[in-house]
Amino acid sequence: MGYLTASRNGGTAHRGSLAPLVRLYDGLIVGLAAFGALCLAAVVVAIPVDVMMRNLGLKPMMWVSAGVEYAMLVAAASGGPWLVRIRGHVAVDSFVALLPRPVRRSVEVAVQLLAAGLCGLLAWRAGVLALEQAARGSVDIRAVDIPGWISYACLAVCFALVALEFVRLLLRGEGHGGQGGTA
Amino acid sequence: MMAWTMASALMAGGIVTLMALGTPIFIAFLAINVVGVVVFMGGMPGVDQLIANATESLTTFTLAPVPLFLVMGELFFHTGLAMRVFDALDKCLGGVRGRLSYLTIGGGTLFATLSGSSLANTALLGSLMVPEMRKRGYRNHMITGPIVGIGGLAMIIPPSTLAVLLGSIGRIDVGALLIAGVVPGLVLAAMYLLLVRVQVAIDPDAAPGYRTERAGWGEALWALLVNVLPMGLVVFSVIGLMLLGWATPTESAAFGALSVVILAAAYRVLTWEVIVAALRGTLNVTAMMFLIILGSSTFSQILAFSGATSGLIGWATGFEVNAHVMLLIMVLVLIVLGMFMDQLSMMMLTLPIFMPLIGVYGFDPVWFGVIMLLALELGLATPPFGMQLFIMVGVSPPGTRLGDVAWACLPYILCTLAMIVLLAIFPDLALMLPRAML
Repeated sequence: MGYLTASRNGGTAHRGSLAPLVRLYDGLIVGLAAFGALCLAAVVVAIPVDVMMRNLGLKPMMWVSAGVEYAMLVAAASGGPWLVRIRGHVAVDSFVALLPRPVRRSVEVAVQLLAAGLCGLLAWRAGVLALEQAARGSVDIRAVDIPGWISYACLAVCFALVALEFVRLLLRGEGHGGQGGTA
Repeated sequence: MMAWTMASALMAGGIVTLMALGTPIFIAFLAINVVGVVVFMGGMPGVDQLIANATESLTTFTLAPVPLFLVMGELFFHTGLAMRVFDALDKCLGGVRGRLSYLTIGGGTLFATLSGSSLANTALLGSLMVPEMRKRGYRNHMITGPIVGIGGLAMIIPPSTLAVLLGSIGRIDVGALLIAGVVPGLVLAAMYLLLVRVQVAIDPDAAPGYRTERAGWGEALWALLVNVLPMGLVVFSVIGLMLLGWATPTESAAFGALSVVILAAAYRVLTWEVIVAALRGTLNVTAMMFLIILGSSTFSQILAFSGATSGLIGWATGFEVNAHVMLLIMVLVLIVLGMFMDQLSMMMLTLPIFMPLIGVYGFDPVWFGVIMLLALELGLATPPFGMQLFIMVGVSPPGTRLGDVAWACLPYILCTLAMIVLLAIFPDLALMLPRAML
């Protein structure tokens, strides 16, 4: 993306026996983001095709509206960890930038600890809820029935990986940066 | 139960404090919401409720136009289709004084009808127009003002992602809100053009005239026919289909995105690199916005549960001010908040209070939505922390101060304020098109 600030220091040379694991993890973060982007691309195609099929008197694709609704969640959840990596989340850093460097770094570490802990808690609860929904066989009734555990599992994975990304920033001693606007 | 004043201070104060500490906005909302559910909704069951709300907040059809509008803007940006529009308009302008400022406003408004991303709009105008204007000796206020003004304009002219978000979160008819932005957007663009004319008249040297390769009528018409007219397909897909009642906002957004793909393919500029870049940009902004919505989804519920909503509304209505004063207060709140935070966070913080308030005062939600979008637009250009001010300082010559940029934007801010006053006096400016929707 040409016009949004994004750090490009995501990839580094990893040494030692952990290297394959780290590469696999890096691949997972980027792969999930690619999956989220593909979901959005599918929405661009699926809706017009569905509308045209309906208007041509063909059998409408019942799954489209529910699919689009879930694509919104899946895209956000898939892109979340990747956004932490590219410093793509919105944050107001104007005040922190006024602080002396050591204080600023302490604030940064505190924020990252908070984010990692909070997302860890939410990943745990979302995971528990997903397992409960699966055990109960709950169904989300929409245009087509969708297993109730899916949305919770999406959030569990998202929060867990976002927590890991913040831990990664902590371990590397890097800031979390951020963009300044949502307009 | 905690007093509503304490509850309000805990929730709003907590979020503002975390934001000021540089916490990513969605984390700030999540953190305060977790504190809120633990305090007001009974511990871990409250956290589980927060997670359930978070899943429901995003699995909704009304949010789908957001990524679709963003795809349109990204494709226009990366394929160079937007450049063709600018080139064609450039050929039509001739050697009028201040032509580059006019071109910024005219082309920017046209691009605003094709793209749902204010960021893409500003980025395009910044990269395209700033170097040329500097080369031609334009003064700072003739460069910065129009670009910041048009960047905000994109937030009310459909397709507008922010209008979709406002409609979806505030439970306002998204289609009506999108269509309601058309007339005020065009009136505002006309005010900007008039402003440039006045500025050129006052200080002709601010936009020096220069000799241009004047295109003949035939060449200008051909450029319009080839590079601008086909874009009507996109405008029709987004605005026309909704106005005619043939498609829902989500469906027309999908047709809009598809029509850009078709146009890009027809112009032979649709490459894999472009598709990847557009999808990457779309995912970036979509995930960024949606995670804020997800993080703040329980905020209004906690406010209501803690008594803060009813307390604040009782307090606000207790002054027994008339409707216009209340509207003025709400606009002022948005302007002040806009000095410090982003538009989506402002919506999340204020809508739980504003929507019940407009119900009490009997405001039309669509009309109020347009006014709110205009007030949100102001936040981009007001110091000390207006986002677009920083962007423009970044692209200005070394030594340019934030105050210089803010000063340059002031006339455009006044135009937007004048538009809000016009809408308060003539609500039909916003409501006539939604009423005409089939």
